[in-house]
Amino acid sequence: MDIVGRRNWYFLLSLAIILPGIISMLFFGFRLGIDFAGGDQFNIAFTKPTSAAVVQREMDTFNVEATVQQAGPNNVLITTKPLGIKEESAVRDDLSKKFGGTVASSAFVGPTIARELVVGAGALIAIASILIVAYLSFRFNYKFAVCAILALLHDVFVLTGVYSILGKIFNLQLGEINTLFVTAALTVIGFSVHDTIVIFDRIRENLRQASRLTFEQNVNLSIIQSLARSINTSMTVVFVLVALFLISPQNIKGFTLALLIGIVSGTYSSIFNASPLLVVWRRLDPR
Amino acid sequence: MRVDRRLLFLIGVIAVLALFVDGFAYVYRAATNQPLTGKIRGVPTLSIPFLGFEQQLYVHKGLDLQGGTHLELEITNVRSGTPVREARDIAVQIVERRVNSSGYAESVVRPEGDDRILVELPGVNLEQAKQILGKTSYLTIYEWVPGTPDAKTLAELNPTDANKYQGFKPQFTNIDGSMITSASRSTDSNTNLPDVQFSFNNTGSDRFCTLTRDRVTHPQGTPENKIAIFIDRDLVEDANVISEICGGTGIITGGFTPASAQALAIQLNSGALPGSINLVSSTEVGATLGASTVKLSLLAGAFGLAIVILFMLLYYRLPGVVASLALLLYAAIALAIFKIFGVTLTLAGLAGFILSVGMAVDANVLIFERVKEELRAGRTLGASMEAGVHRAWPAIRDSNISTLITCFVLYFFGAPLIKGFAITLAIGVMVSMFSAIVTTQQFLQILAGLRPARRLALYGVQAPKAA
Repeated sequence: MDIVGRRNWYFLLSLAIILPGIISMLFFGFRLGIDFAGGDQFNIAFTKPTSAAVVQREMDTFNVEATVQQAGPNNVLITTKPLGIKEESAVRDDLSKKFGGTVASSAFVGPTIARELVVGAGALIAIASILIVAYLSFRFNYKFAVCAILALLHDVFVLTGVYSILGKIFNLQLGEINTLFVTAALTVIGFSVHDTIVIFDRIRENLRQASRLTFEQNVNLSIIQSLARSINTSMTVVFVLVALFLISPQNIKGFTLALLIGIVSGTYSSIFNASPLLVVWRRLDPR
Repeated sequence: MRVDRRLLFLIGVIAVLALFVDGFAYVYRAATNQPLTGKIRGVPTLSIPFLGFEQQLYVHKGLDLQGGTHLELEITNVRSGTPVREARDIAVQIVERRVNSSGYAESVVRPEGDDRILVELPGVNLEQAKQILGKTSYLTIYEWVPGTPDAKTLAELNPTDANKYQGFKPQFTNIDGSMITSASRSTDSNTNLPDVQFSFNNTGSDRFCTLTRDRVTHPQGTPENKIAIFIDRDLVEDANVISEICGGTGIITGGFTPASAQALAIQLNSGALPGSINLVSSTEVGATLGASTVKLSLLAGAFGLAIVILFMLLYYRLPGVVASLALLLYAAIALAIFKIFGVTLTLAGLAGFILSVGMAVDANVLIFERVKEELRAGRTLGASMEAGVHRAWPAIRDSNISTLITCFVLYFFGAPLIKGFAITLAIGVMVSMFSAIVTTQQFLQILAGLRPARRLALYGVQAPKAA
């Protein structure tokens, strides 16, 4: 198997997935959850099946920019602009009187907090990346570190791109960007680097042994040697995540889906991008 | 390398300890007919006095799992002259006092950043939470002096109250709620009527002493004999001064019901806040939703673990058994650590833990793949196992350290939700390194020493033809 030789095809495939995502991010942005946009959100549980459309009509009378979504046969999710204490109680009382609905969960995020969270999330990814580059430069060298981070960015772009498309173009609640999504993205970063390092470790080991292989052959050999491990590990995690996705309630489906996409992308990027990138760099700068 | 008896002993001790921590509290609770989950009275508490460490052993469920309300409050309009942090700390005390007096056992009130307070109230919904926190107000004490109220006074105080006495105006005495250290409802020992006792700090005590000494010189019942207590803009107490009050404590009497005395005590306590408290975010999870999330997570966890074990058994055969044992032990140790350190498990925390299970499996997979390679190269079982662990180590170390770096960043800079995730992931990763390098390795060495375990087919490897 010659993975490194066909690297341009693999880079192309990555671009084919990332580019639409980037275009969507640039033109449409994200569907922000209330943690980032600010607002009030109620998950209302009714005693009998109740349609979102009916609740939407009721909510429209309040003039609070409400959107109502079905979150299960007996559940709806109501999102509004930030409500005052009085408005909020009025909404609760009304829903409980008219439909027998009780609040299963609610969240309120004021505008100040929302802005802080957006800045915070970006900063977290940046700080984590810088520290990882530092550690990898120490253990390997800076070329390995940079390639690992490029693969990491690949995964972040795949994930955010897919979510921009899901949330904005398909208008799915699944594609909402919230704090859980940031947690998922950070997990993916951790996993992506983890996966890449395992292959880099193999390359490091093979390079130490005197052999007649070229750098390119060496990298390819290392990828093949660690292929079983890469796929097996990812498979087990993917199994667990698929199980989680299928049984998880609506409010964390987006989270498990993000992990799923990220783990698959992370496995792909460490096999088909990170290590071949080392070869590209070596050709451009053969020191 | 042979089986290391000391390491094996260590594994045994840790396993027994972990299982004890995991299971004993349940046995004890069941035997004494107490609730199986949550904090209860009378359960033995793990304590290490000289470290100041004390912990009751139970799974601390986050609000999203047990139901409850999480609030983030912000201190705004801080009175000039008071540092924001100081105002925040005063506010924390006030909120704490209110929450505690409402009798919610496992609530948490803690400062966050310069001007924020986090409040967690398990088992309380948002409406109740808002009632508990209520309206926090600012207390000021005025005296009546001859004159008519000016525009500034009328803007600060309710005009009706400020114009209560013809020909007199309220004048601020420089005593405000920030000087009251505590207030409580009590009962007058002579009349048996409810009253409110309060105590001042030194500044307040001195000023109040001078004020009352001064007031008492005026004839009883005249406005100049009274002190006027305002909460925010409203006059709540306009009391005659019978004698000077020095010594730092005072009593307000006069027409209280037990409830109104209690209310004033709370107001006096909260009146110490030099600013106002705003709600900036809240999260509320109903108990039903929390319980169903727990059920789902447990189901997902069990299902995930089963899939992983099945996969390991089918793909790696005998080592798969070892890995499964190591994995179960790993889960037991991690759970014990969560209990001992009182790590609060949230949904995000569970996600972190599940991810760490994936990484624990990965360490085993890395080792087994290496062992297989060594076996294919024709080495003996014992040598292959040793080499497998040895050669897999750098990859396990570097990948886990990079994950720990991520956890570290998340823990120190992340929002509370993300912190929960980071801490379970970090604990999981550290335990998984122990599990892979110590437990799996020792178990493999035991296997290598067993005669029936020497057939290579048990490892999913064909015997090398050349051998």
